[in-house]
Amino acid sequence: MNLIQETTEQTVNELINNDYQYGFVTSIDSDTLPPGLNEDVIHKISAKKNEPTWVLEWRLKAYRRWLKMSDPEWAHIKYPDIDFQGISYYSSPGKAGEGPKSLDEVDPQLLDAYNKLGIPLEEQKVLSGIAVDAVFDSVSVATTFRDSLEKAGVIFCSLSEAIQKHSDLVKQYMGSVVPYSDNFYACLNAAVFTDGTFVYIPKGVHCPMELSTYFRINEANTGQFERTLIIAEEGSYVSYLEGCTAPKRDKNQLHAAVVELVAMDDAHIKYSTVQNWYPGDEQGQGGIYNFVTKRGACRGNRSHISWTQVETGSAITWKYPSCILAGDESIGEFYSVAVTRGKQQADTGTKMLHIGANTKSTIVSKGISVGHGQNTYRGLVRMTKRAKNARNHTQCDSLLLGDQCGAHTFPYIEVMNPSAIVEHEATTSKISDEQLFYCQQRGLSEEDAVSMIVNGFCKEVFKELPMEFAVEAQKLLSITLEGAVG
Amino acid sequence: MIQTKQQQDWLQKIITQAKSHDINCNSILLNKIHSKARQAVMQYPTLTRKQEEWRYNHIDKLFDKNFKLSSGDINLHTIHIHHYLLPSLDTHRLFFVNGRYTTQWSTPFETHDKTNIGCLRDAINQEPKKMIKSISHFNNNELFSDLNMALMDDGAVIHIGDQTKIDKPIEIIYLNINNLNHFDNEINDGITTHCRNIISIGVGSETTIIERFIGENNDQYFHNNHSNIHLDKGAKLKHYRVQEDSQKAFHLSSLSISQQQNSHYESSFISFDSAWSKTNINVDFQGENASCLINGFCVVGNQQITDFHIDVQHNVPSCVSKEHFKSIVYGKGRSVFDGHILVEKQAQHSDAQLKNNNLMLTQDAEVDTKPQLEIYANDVKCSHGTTIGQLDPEQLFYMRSRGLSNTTAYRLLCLGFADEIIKNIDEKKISEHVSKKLVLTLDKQDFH
Repeated sequence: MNLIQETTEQTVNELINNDYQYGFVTSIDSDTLPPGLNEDVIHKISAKKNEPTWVLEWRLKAYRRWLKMSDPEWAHIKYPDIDFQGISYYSSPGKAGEGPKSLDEVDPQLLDAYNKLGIPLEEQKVLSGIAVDAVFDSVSVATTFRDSLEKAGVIFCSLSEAIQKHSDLVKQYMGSVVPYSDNFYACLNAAVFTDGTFVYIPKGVHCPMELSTYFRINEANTGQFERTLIIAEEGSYVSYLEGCTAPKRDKNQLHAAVVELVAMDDAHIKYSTVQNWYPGDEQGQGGIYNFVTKRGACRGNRSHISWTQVETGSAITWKYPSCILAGDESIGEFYSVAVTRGKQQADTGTKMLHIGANTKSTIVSKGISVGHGQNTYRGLVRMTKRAKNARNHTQCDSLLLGDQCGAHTFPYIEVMNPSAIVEHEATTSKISDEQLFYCQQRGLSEEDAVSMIVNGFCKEVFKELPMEFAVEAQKLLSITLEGAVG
Repeated sequence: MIQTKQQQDWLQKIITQAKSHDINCNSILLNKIHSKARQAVMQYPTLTRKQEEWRYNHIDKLFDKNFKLSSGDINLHTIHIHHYLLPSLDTHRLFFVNGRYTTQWSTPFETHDKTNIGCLRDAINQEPKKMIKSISHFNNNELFSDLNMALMDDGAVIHIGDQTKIDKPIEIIYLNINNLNHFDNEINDGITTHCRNIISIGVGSETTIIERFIGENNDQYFHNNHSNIHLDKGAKLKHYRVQEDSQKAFHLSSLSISQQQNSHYESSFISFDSAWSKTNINVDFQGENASCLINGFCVVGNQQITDFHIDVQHNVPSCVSKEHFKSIVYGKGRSVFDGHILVEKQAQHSDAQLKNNNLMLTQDAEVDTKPQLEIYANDVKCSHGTTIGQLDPEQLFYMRSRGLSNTTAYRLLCLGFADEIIKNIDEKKISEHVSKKLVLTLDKQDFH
């Protein structure tokens, strides 16, 4: 109960502080640090969060490493250089930016989308960044959920809180799957991460409900450098939902998040993402750059990690949720639907590293390109020498709507064990005139027909999503495709 | 950077040798091409494993060796020609020993009108301006293509005029042999030879070209072969390449194929032996309704690396490309396949298929494959498929239970696997030869 009170208090405080968004001086007490990145900034972030020394040292190590790294260029995406010194690396949680005061000020297009998705009014306010009455939050379902989670022994809190309260666990696991030196953006994240989610499922516990960032949405706006750490002990199960179907605006253009999953013996982690950030306008101006490092380690035997993602937003998506299949008989899965329209670009896929014997992985990737969208699948399947009888099946299908878009497939397959079996297949197609004709002939409008065919195309992935999420994802897809034909 | 220095030194050494050979060359125009390419070669960035092109292939292995540029002076009497010819294969033959054309064993087509089959040296002597002009048009954008250009002094020239059908297949044999006339005491790891082939098939013409690469069993050498192939409207070319280099050979082939409207290119790339081999195939469709069918098969064993890079560019509508590559890998062999299909925005109605199947027989073998699609047009049919696996234990059991030994069962299944590619070789003598060679290679292996 203590925890909840604290949260509520924190929220209230944040909301009060909300009025002081502008014109702050650069003292350490201020809510927003001035743009720029140096060791001083990192010291300040760490001090603000009252972190133990090891976290600060880890951040500094990462920062020094980051200085020596350069922006990766291999991805099939184009964007102007990012000015890393032009970004403010800390702003107090809860300050979503220049938020509108009431729904009347919100972009009508956005509201339209909310209504189509069937999002209740109160939630619409939350999503569009309007300061919501603290009462709404305190009586929300989130609080009740927290109670039952605590009973089960599940730890579900913000990463900052976990660093304070469960320091040992965080110290043991943070950076163990995605080391600070992993890649340019993961390294930047390690240096400046502001908050994120921490989940710990004790031995043998079947998490009583689907965990979702949604329940934490008002508790902490995790900002642009989010870090998630999920640990599933022996024999436990957890299903985690990230993001939501509602379109989300954010003042930060660059998002560099890191997600780490650890699964012990017989543990099962199911991680679902629906990403629908602002994709920018028709000219591709102003959309979010989503550069995410997601990786799961199947450490234990018979452990199981499955990634499901529906990516419809962001100007640029650069994301490869991966599995390190170290435990024998461990299983990795990747199901993805990525839609790019307008000037959106997506370079996404997965890595399956088979290390243990009898490991299995499945990759199903569906890319849909509309308008000028560029959609790339990039994946690696590696069967190491030890991976006896490892098995992989990969399927990448692309659907092209319009003659200005592109669909690309760049799979890497490396096999060092003769008993491994790897299959990869990819197809590229468009919706045929016959298919459309058939549907229209039976009274469907062209738009409905396209939507129906695309939903069928994505079915394999949607069925992996938790029930209500799947329904929302379908709706989201039809909205995204609106105006794609004709 | 040690690597950078190593690469520069390696190139410099070969180019210095080439300069001393140049004294014999009396073509100013050719000299110009050489010196331009020699400058270009030194400008390339260091090749490292970080570059996609060299991700799975170790270039260091090549740069570690100290090759001597073949001077072309060969004592032909020491060569037993009959070891190398396929009996009863009736062809127009162009025979190259250590990168140099030899009239003695060649039986070219009598040159007439617009058709010319011969060697690059003669062609440059006869029609210097025309040849140089066509050579200088070639676009080398890769280190070894430029190196080839910088060092080439011979190669096959096949020019088939319009509406011509050549009665017999044209056979090109490249034989590389060490120590024929190298009595110098200089320390080296064998010779290096560079051939540039220029092939153009006229409007509506048809022909078959067979290329064979042969080396003595234990000779070490580096052969760098570059072909520019052009198919005019409605031309048809069947192209069979059989690589039977020595066990220690380093082999690098690049083929740039350009196809005009309605032309058809069909080829089979068969590769055995050689310690290190890399084949780059680029197909560029320049006219509508052209098609290409490229098959490949390689056996990779011991410490070998065999690397196929294929790049097909659909620049115009309605072209068809089909690639199918298979490999059998054993020992510490490593098979690398990199297939890339690009379909440009305007290339609607393209049909592109890429298939790669690999059979791994032993614990230490490795297969790295990268089938890529890059598609900017919407009304296309594109697919790729890759499999990597081992022989089916049930099939092996079936054969064993019928009294076949393990080795025989392995051999039969491997032959069956390879047959899908080999059977596409229309020239019966060649397909028989390849099957025989495959049996011999498999026989040497002990499949417990």
